[in-house]
Amino acid sequence: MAAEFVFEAIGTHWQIDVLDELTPPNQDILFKLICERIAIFDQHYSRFRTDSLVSAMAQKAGTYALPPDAEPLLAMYQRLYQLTQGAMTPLIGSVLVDAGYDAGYSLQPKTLRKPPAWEEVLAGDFKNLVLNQPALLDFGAAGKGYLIDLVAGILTTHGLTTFCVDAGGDMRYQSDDKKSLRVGLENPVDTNQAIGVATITNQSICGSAGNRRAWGEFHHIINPHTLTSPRSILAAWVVADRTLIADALTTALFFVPSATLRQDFNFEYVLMRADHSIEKSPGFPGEFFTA
Amino acid sequence: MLRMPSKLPVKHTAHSKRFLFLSMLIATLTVAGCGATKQPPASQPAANTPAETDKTDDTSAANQAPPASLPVDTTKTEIEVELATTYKNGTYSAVGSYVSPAGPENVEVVLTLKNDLVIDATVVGKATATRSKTMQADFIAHYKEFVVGKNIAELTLGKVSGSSLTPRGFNNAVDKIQAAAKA
Repeated sequence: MAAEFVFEAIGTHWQIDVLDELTPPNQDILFKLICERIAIFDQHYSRFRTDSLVSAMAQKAGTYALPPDAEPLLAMYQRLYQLTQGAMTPLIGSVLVDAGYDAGYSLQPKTLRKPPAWEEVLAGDFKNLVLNQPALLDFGAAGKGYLIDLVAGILTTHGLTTFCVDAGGDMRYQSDDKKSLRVGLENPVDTNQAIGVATITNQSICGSAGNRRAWGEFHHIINPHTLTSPRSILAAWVVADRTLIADALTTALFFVPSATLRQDFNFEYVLMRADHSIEKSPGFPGEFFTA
Repeated sequence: MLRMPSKLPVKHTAHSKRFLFLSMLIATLTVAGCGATKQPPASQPAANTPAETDKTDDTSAANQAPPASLPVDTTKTEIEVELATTYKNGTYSAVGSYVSPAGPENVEVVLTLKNDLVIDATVVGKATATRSKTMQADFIAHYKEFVVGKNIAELTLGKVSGSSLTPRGFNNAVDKIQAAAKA
């Protein structure tokens, strides 16, 4: 029979639908594997827990042997750091904490200080990362997408072909018979409405908007140069072949024009600007409800 | 609650129920995750100390302590965050002036603000010169590339994507601050 796993993890709601045949014992095994994989990821990359690897790195400079899954994630951050001229950086961690987006969700902003540059802090390679000074790394912009890929990888490894891994509206959809999935694009101004529908097949879609995870003058994206949250864009969605790419680029689009990202990545995107106008790539798979 | 393309069979078998129960239980116990329940809580911490060689492979980390649940501080009463928006919600209108080649002209703009966002806008032409009238009419016909949403409930969808849904801890914190701000 098909399987459905619904749970809360890494601060969001997960729904994994598997349409392949799975015996109940295999469902149990699969669910356990997924949970273990998520737990390992959280243990390494969550800045919301004091016993994580990134929390240890926030305490002490030195050389850190990173887990094998670190390289794709850090390589993505490094490239986007370059393409956005430092606007998208994992070193934003301390800024988010000072703004109040901390482990206790205090949401009480203190004085913000600009984070150091990548080169000042990070050296070495992504297997043995040299931290020149203690730094709180934040992987909030791409970590969830990457984790969705890793979970989807478990399903694929076990021979499953038709499934959707959805974590809080960011998702990977795999369909052996190439059936498409219709994904509503939530209007950030009125969450009961969709501004359009994306249609994806064997692709990932991620969205980012400033309407939720917002407090005071901030939302979850903060520009390290201006120490403010971008306001000219209300929401961004990206469709790509990997969830890591889709997730990372939704944040990058808050900082740079899509053309800047085109040189390195294949993706389709939609933006909703503050004046409610829509910008989208010509090839974005879907329809929009425009006036 | 939303559907996958093919209908998912039998959500109410014993096993599915068990999954749901398990996940609900886990969700209740910890914010951070599903893997936490079966691990012994007293294993060694994960901190990867400087110069330590590769210890953080998948198998070792799988035995780590469960994630700590988020602290909820119920003692604080003073909360300094201002949730107040910069602008009051409402509809505002203003007449703007500019000098066209044909002389001074006016245009009226009506904006509806909600939570510091412009959710509607109307532009009323006030031009006097013929050429300015044409220009303003052209502007009015095209400026409003506004998006009109459709009710999500009325659409046939598999999924919805937007801002991260159900960020439970975060929303709880916001609720608390709002409650405190009102008091």
